[in-house]
Amino acid sequence: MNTRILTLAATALLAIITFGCSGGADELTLVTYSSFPAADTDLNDALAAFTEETGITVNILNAGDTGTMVTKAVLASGNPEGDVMWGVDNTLLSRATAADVFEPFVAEAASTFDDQLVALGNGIVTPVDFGDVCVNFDRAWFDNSALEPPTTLDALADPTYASLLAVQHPGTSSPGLAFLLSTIARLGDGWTTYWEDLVTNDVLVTNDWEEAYYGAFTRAGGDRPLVVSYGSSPPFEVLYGDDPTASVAPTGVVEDTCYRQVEFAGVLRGTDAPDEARQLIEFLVSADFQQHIPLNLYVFPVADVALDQVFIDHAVIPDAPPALTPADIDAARASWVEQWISITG
Amino acid sequence: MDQHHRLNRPPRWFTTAVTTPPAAIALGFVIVPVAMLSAQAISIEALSTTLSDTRTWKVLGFTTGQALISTIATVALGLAPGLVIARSDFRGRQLVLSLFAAVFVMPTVVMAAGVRALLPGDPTGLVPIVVAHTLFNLAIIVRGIATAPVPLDMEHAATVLGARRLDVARTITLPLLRPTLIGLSTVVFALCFTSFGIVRILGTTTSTTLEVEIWRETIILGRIDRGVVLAIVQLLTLVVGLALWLVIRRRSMPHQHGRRQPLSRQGLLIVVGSCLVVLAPIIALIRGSFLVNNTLSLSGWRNLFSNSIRPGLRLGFDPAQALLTSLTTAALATMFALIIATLVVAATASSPNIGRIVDGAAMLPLGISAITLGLGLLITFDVPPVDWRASSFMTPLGHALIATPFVMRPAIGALSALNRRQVHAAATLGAQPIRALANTVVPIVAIPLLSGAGFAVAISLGEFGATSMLSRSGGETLPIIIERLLSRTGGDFRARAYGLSIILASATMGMVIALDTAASRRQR
Repeated sequence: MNTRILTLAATALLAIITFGCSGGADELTLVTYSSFPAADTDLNDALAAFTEETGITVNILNAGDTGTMVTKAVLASGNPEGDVMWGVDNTLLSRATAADVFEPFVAEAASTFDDQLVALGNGIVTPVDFGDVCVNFDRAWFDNSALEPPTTLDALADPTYASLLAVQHPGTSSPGLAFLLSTIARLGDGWTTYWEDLVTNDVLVTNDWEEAYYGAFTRAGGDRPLVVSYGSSPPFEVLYGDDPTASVAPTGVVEDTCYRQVEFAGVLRGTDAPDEARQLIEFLVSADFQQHIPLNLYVFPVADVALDQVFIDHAVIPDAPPALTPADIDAARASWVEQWISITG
Repeated sequence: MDQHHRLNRPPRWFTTAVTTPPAAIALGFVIVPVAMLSAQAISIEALSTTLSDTRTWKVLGFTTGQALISTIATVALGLAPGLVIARSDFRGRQLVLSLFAAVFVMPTVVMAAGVRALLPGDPTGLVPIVVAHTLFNLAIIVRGIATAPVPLDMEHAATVLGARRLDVARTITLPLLRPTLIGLSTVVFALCFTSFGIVRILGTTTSTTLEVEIWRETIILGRIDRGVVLAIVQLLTLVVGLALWLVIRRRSMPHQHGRRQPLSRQGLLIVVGSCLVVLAPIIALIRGSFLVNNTLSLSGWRNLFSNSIRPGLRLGFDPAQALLTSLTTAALATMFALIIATLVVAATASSPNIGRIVDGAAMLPLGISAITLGLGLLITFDVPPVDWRASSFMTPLGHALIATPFVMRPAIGALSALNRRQVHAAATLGAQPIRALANTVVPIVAIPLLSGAGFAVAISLGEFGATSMLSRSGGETLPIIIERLLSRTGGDFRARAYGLSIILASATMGMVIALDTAASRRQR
């Protein structure tokens, strides 16, 4: 009798497992970071069009911020929460690939993208968008002072610009880390001296972007007219500001300080629908989807699509700022941050 | 003697029936996931590096120190208003009590920014952390004491017999309140000890908590193994701390709540003063909701429930839908928490020894790192038929796990004021043991349970703990929308976020008042 129960249980379990695995072909789960809209934007409409065309429904799974998403994917490697991941960036990519999170796949369309961006994906993932972290300045503040806004990274360490800059802690903030990487990519071993100078120059360190941009920045009522933010912040200051038709954005970008963050999409290893997953990635880098990226995700498309006028008027996209490879970043990040702490601490 | 004792005990099946579900939930959704993650991630190398790093012990020291100071400050500040509200009847009493709960759902970033603005010199570190913790947790002490049985009649008798007021407090009120106070401060201590959001913003590289370090190691640096070691250090410290606490917990003398008095002038001052303290952050919110880029504007309120940015450009989330999701989630979470808490209280009432174990198990979610628990759940419930990684019931269940200690703690405190002789008397007079228990215990624990449920509402609406680690598909709650609005460039978004925070605080107050009213109806 015991055997019979056991057989029955085994059959039931098998049925559940088979049932659980047999789906998939007409449904995909797209794992993304939390700022990816779950519904009701042009991006979601584009995904609906993909469904109409292919019969594949795309469910969006919000896995938290990018760091949380990658940590979870590493733990679930081989038994993923979804089929495709959107949004792992160049600072976290190595961590994911080291844990075999992805099944290597690069979209065909990638051959038409910027080679540098594609190369960062290392043949495992496809770049889908990019954006820059840059020092922003408050135009009104500089207009009212005798100072001109700085134009170089070095100028920030100059006593002329003492007590004007707010940055984020690289150990707790993603733009903070990007700005640290920017100094390392540009100055090499000289980055430590540079930061010592910044400290002498009374740089303000906050724990996150919000505290810097909406606390310390003069535009928000603080006393720092220079703040580490994004290259796309000025157009959004216009778009979401009091006057969406303003000819000059209230903030500007110091181009020489920018660091590029590239985001990738990949097929999650262990998916039961690898073919459909690849099909989805091809769609994610197609013009139909890419054209909606800037206004909804605050970053720029990798595909060659027309930008909204507001970006042409107000955004700064430096050509190929110096970059570090994902492998370099992952290998040295902890020790860089620790060194940085000992300098600024 | 032994025979007599057994006679009055509820049957064993009853104890088993009330003990099993909470124990199973603690085992399945807390202990097993954390054990699974530890087993998968931990390594000898991580153990030795983390434990030999002096930083670990420095952070542990700061974590413990700030939690102790925060707890003492919270109790010191909450004791007087709690006692006044407990013993007085006045109009707006429930409004005041709900106000304290509303502070609980304040977005952490808003509270942290408010505290920094309030203190001179824009400080970080110990002082602002303690201030923010005190503001947040004041509600636990005030509401907990306000709903505990206060021995008014005994106090009155002592006063009539010529005792001075301070002596009355020292010799009667405080000793009798001790189990309640110790229970409440345990909860506050655990919350401050595992604090994340506040410390992430107000802390510094050295003035930080283990929970923030766990996050830094696990999420930022990707060293899950070291994160798990820190989580174990955190849990063990808390368990040792709580064990010490339990040693000093003494049974209270049985007493009953006396009749409430009208509010004295002194009492009025205390209540108004404490209200001003908790109102300060709410007023800051209201002010912020009318400011766009530092100029006065109504646009935040005008666009409050709109899901568009400008014609043709949409936000990608719907605040009205999120409010609805928050309310349903809170209702479910509160129901779960009430059921679990009632079972734990029943277990404690029917068998104090077994009850203590279940009680401890139900307290675990407060002491376990939310990040570790969230990741543990991810790798535990990952195979069919239990692939629940993005199931819609995980969020309310997670909220309920965090809320249960708040719901059960005051009730268990009140239980210690129960005269066990009453239960025995009822049983001796012929009542069935379960009925004897029901007749004596239910009237005492019903009010604290219901008012504790108000906390469950606040906790769920405020959305904190392990649930923020769970993946979700759709079903955003209001705090998530607020956080997303706050992290965007654009002054209008901030005003909207503040406006929505006010809506969230008002919804909390509404639901808490409803539950408190239900509780006081019971009392009559």
